[in-house]
Amino acid sequence: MKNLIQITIIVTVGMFLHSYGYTQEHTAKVIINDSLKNAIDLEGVVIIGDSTSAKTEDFKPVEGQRTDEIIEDLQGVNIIRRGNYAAEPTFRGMSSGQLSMTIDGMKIFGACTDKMDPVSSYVSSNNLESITVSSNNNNACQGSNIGGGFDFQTKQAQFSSHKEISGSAGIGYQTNGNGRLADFNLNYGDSAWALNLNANYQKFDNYKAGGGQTIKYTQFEKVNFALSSSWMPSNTQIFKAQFIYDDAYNVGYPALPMDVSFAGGRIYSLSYKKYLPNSTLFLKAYGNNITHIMDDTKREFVPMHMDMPGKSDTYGAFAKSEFNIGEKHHILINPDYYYNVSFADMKMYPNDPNRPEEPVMYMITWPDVRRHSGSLMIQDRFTINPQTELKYSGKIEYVTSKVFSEFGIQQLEVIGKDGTIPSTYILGNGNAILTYQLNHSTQLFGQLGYAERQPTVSEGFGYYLYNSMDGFDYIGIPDLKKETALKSSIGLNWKKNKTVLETKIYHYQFQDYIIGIIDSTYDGMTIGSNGVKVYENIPSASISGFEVKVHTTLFKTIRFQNQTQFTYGVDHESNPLQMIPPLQNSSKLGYSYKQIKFQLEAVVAAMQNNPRLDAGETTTPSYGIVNISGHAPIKLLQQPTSISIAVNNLFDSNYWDHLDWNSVPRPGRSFIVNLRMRF
Amino acid sequence: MKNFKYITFLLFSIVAFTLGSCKKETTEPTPPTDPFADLTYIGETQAVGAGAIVKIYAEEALFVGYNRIYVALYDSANPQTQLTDAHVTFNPMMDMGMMQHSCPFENPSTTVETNTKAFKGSVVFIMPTTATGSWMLNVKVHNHANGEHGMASLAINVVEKSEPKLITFISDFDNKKLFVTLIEPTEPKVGINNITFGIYEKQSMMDFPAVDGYMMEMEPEMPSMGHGSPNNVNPVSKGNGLYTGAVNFTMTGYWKINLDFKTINGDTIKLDQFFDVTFQ
Repeated sequence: MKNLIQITIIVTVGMFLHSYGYTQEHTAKVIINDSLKNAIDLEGVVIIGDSTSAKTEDFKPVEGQRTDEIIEDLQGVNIIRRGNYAAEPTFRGMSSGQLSMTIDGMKIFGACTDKMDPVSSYVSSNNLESITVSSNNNNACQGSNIGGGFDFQTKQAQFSSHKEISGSAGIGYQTNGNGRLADFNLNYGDSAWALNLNANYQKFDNYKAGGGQTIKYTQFEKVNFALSSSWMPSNTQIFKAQFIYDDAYNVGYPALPMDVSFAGGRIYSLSYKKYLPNSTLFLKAYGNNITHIMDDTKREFVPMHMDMPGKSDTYGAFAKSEFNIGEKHHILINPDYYYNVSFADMKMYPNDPNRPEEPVMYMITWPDVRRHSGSLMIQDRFTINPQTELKYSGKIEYVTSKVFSEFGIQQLEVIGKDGTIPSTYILGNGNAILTYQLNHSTQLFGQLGYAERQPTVSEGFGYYLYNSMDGFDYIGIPDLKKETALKSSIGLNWKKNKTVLETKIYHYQFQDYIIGIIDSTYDGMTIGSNGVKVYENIPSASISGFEVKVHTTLFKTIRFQNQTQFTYGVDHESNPLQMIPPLQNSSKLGYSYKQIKFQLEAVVAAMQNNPRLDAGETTTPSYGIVNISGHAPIKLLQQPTSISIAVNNLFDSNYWDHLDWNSVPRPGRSFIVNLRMRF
Repeated sequence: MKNFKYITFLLFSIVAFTLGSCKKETTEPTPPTDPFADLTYIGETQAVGAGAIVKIYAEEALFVGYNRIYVALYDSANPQTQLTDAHVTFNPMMDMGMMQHSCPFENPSTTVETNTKAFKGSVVFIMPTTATGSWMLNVKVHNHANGEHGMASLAINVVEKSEPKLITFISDFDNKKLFVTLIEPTEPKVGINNITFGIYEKQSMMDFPAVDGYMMEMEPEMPSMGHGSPNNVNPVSKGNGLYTGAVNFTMTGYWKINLDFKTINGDTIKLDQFFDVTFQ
């Protein structure tokens, strides 16, 4: 009923409100300009979408890719796989609380205590316009964090000079896992109104790893609807409403002892953008309700049946205003507020035949934590001279979290903490990037920043959260210190004719790095667990690495891209940090003739022989895989149609990445076919 | 102009909300309540000779284990008048036909409780009422109002709880027969719970004195999951046979509280004793 009301409201409001499709183009362009041409923020890169030559679509011509497959392709990005669904993105060895993840600038916090529902899982790939990955924590609309973050920009309703209905429909099939995919997009646009409806459906059975072994519990089913509407009452203002409805069912997680029977996201927003002479004003209010239900009813051997539902509701609003001061200063002001409620609990069903009367065991794993955050960010893009630009920004955030469950407060007593006292943090973030155009083809940049973040709900309040990677139950500590980092990067970009070289080196020096440390005074709660880890601030840690990307075009029709990334992370005792990807290299060779495209891709990862042993990591062998894909237009029913054919993991390698939990092998060879009709 | 309307509306909503939440809290006079409302009525009888009616209350139906007993005295001649100046002593007795025995108890204090104006003591019943054995609670009253002595004898029913609150064993150290009762928590909850045990020994059929000065080691456990809980505090002797500590329950469900008993010198009295505690 509640959902129905939400839908009704969104639809009604959507009738006279409006998307910033036009705006979106602007932002996207700005970022593209920044990153590839003017290199204002070289750390911000935009991928996928259409029209620009540098976009990934040209390189990976397959339709019907999944969101996490697209993310994994980005430089500096790796994914943590726990199953075949909703992999968790990491950036330069940093994850969850260290990154911010937003959809169209909206803060969304997963409802799963085991991070099985990253924000990326609520955007379907065909609704994804672009992804911004930024190492700059002061990037507008991102919460205070260390490693920057991801913003997923969804497809916006497009205006048209005359009344126009357009869209596309696609169906696809993947042999490995019997994957069935279907998507649909419909856009109506006139000069004042626009409406976009997007739908996506995916269903997979268990896939087979390289060599033919079936990996159990890798099935999932997912449906995603997105409605976006825009209204432009005049040339200078746009209203927009959006609604995303995402449901996933029967999602298997082979790396975990439990699966997910249901995961649902309801995401909605209203926004307004006003263009004034020399300035713009953008306002947005949003909300989202995330539900995540874990259970193990489909598992064959469980010592005890358990349910772990979780809920996360977030409501927020932000404003962004951009204006120029004089000729040289471009200012962005971004006040932001959000409110989040996280609740998760756990029921354990005893099964001792001698004690049939034994009641269900119950505990709360996220004790109704309510978090308010208010922040103000100011950024100045200062053009010092035609060759030199300085972009600097500062952000201050006040964030307070309090436990509202009486039961949860009692649980905190057990670990000797007073849950009635709110956890409050004042977070300061600052960042500066200097870009210098050395000559026509060479550009240098240097970035220096200071970042602070508050602990996540799990780090602050989680209660015996089982991590199946290291086999420990994790307990959060409400009075953890904030994690801070000094971050720096330098880079060089070189461009001549059709060859582009981008290189960067980065270093993050952490203080009070938050990590789980074994505490032998506690008893593991989960049956078979290795014990308990308590979140602590360790004095220091560091992450450093480099990224190199070369891109060139030969004979107009052949393109080559090579990308290398390396990350190295150690704690204060020089032990390796967990979830640090090994040296990786990917090459893409693309050929395009008219509208026919063909691509050969090779991904190689070195062995990771620096595992963090107490995090359950083991040495991961190196691997290499080859993917091929092709894309061709055809004519079907008088409509422009395209067909994509691909073979993933051509040589059926049996492999897993260092970040894949419990070394569950990834899918073996899969033939993929996708048919798309546009109208 | 439109914006102005919205802002006005918003301000009005905020004001309305604020006013709404500032509603004055009215303090209504609470009607006088029966001071015995929270207690369980066990029975009443005359203390013959003392000129008093003895009414017995307890916190719940009498059970095997530690029972707090409230003795309310009323003037036989004027049953509305509660007597507060008296001296009350217990002598619970189990009659099994062939033999009789008493059990551990603590006589009420000489002053009455402020709320109930009753004399509060305790009795640790060591066995339930059975077909062949019945309990009698004998209450001796010295009514200071008239200086008379009298005895009230009330037949009572004692039940065994589904989760026993009393364990009995023979000390490995000195062969004493010991009774250990779990007194608190009566309403266990997740979090820190104060825990109280009472330890008594059987010196004779009629004499069950409290035992102080033992050492207890306590370890709660959830048998179906095989885990314990952190930060428990071993009970320590507080006099009158009472031992207090703290037990932590990390979740609801069935817990087993494992106990080892030792002398002050560390000699083993008994190991591997336990109480079951189940709550939801």
